[in-house]
Amino acid sequence: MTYVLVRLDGLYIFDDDINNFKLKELSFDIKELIDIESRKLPDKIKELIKDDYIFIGQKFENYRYTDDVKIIRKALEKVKDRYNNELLLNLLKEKISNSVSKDELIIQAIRFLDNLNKSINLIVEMFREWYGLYFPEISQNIEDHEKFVKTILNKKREDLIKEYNIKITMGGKIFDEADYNILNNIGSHLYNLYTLRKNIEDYIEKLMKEYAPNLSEIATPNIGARLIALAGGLKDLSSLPSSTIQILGAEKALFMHLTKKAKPPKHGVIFNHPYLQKLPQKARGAMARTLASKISIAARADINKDIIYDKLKAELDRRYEQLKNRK
Amino acid sequence: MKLKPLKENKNIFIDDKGRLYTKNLVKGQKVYTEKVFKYNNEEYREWVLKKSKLSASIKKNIGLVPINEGDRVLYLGIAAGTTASHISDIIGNDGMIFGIDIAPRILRELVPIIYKRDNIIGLLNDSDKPDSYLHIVPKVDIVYQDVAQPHQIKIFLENIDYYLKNRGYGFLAVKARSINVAKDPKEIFKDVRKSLEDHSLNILKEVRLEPYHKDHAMFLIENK
Repeated sequence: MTYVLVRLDGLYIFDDDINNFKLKELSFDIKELIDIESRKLPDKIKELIKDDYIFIGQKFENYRYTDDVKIIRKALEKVKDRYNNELLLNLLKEKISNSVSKDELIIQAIRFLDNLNKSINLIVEMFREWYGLYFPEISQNIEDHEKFVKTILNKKREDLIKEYNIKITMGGKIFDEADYNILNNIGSHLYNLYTLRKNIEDYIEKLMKEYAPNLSEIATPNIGARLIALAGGLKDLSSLPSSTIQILGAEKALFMHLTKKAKPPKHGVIFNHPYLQKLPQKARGAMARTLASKISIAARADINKDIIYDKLKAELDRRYEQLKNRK
Repeated sequence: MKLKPLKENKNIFIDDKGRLYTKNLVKGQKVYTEKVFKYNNEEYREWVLKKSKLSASIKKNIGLVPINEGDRVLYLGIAAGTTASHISDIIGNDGMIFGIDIAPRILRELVPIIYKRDNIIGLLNDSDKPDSYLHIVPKVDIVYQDVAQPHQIKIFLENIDYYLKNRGYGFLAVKARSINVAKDPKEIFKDVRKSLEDHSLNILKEVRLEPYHKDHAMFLIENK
């Protein structure tokens, strides 16, 4: 029996009792190092391996290995202590680069969208307050922020007075051109932000439909993206039990339940799903359970690149009808 | 201000207000938000207690800091290298830190630090699979672990089995809230103590890190 260990400086070939070794010096490039970590043996090592060789702690496909800790410890004591810093730094950079996936894009996009929404709401509320000095009636007439911004953009008070048939305005009389222009300027930037929001939403939807078609269909693209963000990736989401998926996004309530004995949460971000929204409160727990289980199956199908959403959707619809008609 | 070496370790310094410092290995480099300043023609970096569990445990009288010049250190959960940079100061250019972390995002922050510190190697690996870096990491003098994982003790013990030399030391920063949020931290630390003892490790000291780090404890162990 001969033991072998792959190290950065080559192949260490040990005798039976791990006391002596021969070092077959080799040097590896980054691709080969990544192969070694993903348990694929580079060809230049394969050539050196004989049938009775046993790898120490390293599991390569189709090769024998031992995970006896005593042998691993002993072998590590013998090996030479040398490294190539530059190679390892480049390996690290390569691995960081390889780790960027579509998951990351989805996660960043959905986080950006949430924060953009918050920012827009903050700005638009302050804007309305300011605009109220100019023409408060229009702000009182239109509740929806986006519609408000679209209505007033590039229009003066005189135009809007006619359009909305308002006889006397409470707006100030002291507005000159500069006072008005700055308001319109903010308005046009807000309008652009709303356009940006729409673009991001469309982008997420498109990305989700390509990357996770089943999940998008069952959970809606928006909630699907949120679930991916909370789990840390589609793969992570697919390995979660459906009971966890059910309450993703309700961590605060869950910890209150675990530590302070509050009621357990029934749903996390899936709460925004149309099927949950449409059902009476009593039925939502049951619906959330079913929905979470279908989401978990959908995510697993997406990992395997299967398309099964028709079947899942039908099952989900059946349960929804059942619960809707339940007294 | 007056700096004097700590009795536990001559490469760690303390001022009259009780703040800890290490001598900066890379002149002019600031790693996080620490203060950097000149004293007797040498550059020192403050080791902020709230940013590092190791400095907090020194402050809380861990009593022994067996990190020497030239040591090999396996650092599990190196993250952005805050604590590691001070260990790097202590071990000097003859030492080496093998920093493992599973999160690519945070290792991105470590890379600029590695550029200037030749004694840190960053590895994007899962410390749960110690065999995945058997081709790089050698036998080490110290295993330092600070990972927020429910099974962090198992990870620590496995890595000790593989990499820590006989009579080597281990620092284990336990985050009770990561192991179990609902359980009393005292109970968790008791369980940790038992797992370490069952693994026939010598527990040299256990310190709680309040008020610097809530619900954390540092265990210093020696491999028999």
